[in-house]
Amino acid sequence: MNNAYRALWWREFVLYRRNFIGEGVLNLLLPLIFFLFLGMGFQQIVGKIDGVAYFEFLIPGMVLLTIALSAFETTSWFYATNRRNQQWQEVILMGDFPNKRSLFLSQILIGIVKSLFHGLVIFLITVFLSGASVSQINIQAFLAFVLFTAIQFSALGHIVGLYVKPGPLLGRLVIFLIFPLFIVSGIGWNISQYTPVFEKIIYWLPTYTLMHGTQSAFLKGVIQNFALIVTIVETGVIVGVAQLLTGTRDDV
Amino acid sequence: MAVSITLRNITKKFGAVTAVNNLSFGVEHGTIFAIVGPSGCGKSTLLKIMATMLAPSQGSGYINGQNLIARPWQIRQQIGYMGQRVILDEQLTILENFVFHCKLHGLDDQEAEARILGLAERFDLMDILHELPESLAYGVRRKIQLVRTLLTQPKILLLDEPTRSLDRQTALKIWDYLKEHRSSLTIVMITSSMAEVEHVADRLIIMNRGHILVDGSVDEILYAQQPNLVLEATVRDYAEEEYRTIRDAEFVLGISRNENVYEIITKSPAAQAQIIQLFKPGNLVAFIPRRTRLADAFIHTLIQEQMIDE
Repeated sequence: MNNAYRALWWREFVLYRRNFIGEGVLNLLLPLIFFLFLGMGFQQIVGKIDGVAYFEFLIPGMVLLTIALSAFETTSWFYATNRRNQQWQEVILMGDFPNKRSLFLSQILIGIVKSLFHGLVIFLITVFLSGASVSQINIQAFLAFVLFTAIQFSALGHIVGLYVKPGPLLGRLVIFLIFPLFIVSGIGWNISQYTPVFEKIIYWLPTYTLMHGTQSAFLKGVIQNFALIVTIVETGVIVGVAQLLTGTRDDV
Repeated sequence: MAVSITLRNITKKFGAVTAVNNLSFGVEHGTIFAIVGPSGCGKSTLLKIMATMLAPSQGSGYINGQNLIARPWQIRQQIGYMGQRVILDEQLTILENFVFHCKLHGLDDQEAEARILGLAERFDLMDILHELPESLAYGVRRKIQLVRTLLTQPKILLLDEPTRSLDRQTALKIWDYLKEHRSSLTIVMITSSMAEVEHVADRLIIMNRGHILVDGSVDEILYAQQPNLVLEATVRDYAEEEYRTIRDAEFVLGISRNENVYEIITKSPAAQAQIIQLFKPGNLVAFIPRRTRLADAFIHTLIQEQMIDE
């Protein structure tokens, strides 16, 4: 890791420590409230889904949602604020970066690590609150889907940050796009409960593939090979697009 | 003397627009080199090319022995670039901005601390180190940006209007500092202050429309001009018609007015007698030829080029 990467990590840590309430706690609070609200509201009515307690069923979705929101926010705000408004990237790039790709990679990495940390916290809290068993988890598959979610949404945040100015629009994208995408992809219910047409539509959503793979790994200990392949391809495409759209500085 | 910067036939095009046109020059180590010219003449583009932030469309160059096109990373590690805009991380305090910059350039913590405190003390920034940039005046932010550029002790400084918006005292402090370190430093600066160029620059180029009109030291450029190109005329009463007549005269290159004093740039000192004839009888109080300054030479050069083109 060269100097510039270390500098970006240092900056992230300074800001995280300073904005812990706004960035850390609030990032965790939204999925947590949602978890408790859905769980307590429907546990009595639904009882079990796919043979597991409703609270337990919610866990993989909540972890994914936390990771997605956190990764998206980290990279989108970095680029939206610093690149679009202040052209601050110019200063960073004068540092010890071999090229623009390195900055792209390091920021994606920051998004991934931060979101995985938030995901881990939510995982531990929700497992603790629900008393869910973790012995059945296919850990490799679970980690793979979780990691690909972090990569996808870090890269997506990067793309959005390149074009959207910081402000309400970024918040709206989270509330009205990412959040609903996860909801309809089956955070709180099995998508077989939808009408056949709607189910088919949901089936093709990238968020469903992630959700399906993670739920299978967590709840049944099963690795969904097809979902994993689709996820790998999707991740490659999103990261590729993000890198392409970053554009090349004339010198790199 | 060793050469720090060599540019050969540099051209930069943005679509159909040629911002820098087949430009070549060299800058020797330890020189304070100024680039002057009217807005949009390609100065900032040229500086960005030297800073490796833009690649030239054509041409080649070396910065401290490193190829401009092949080794931008290596060049960036040896230069300090300060652009026209104030770019600070608004989320970090001034001290954190400085620390971040030092870390970006690989300075260890002890060295960074010593340099930050040294420069902050020297440029009166100690009291605001823990403030966020947004709370500070534009001039102070600009000073912070310049100090940040100096933190890494670059071998080559590329500065775009370094003292713009700074008070005179601060500007002098900065130049004192830079002059102290000039044995280990090459400075290329863009400035619109001809007084600053006269005060600090060893050499300058005057650019227009992407190419160099004049290249030389301040003395050389002034020597090449005729000595008394500017006349200061004091009139009893300002008369618009009289002013226009002088302005439109064939041998007058430019005129400016401050109350009842006209400053007239002429094509040659020989035109003075003809100019006197243009005043209304009895209105001319005093008429003094003045030593040609760099600012006059600049305007003279630009207008003459314009006339050649026409």
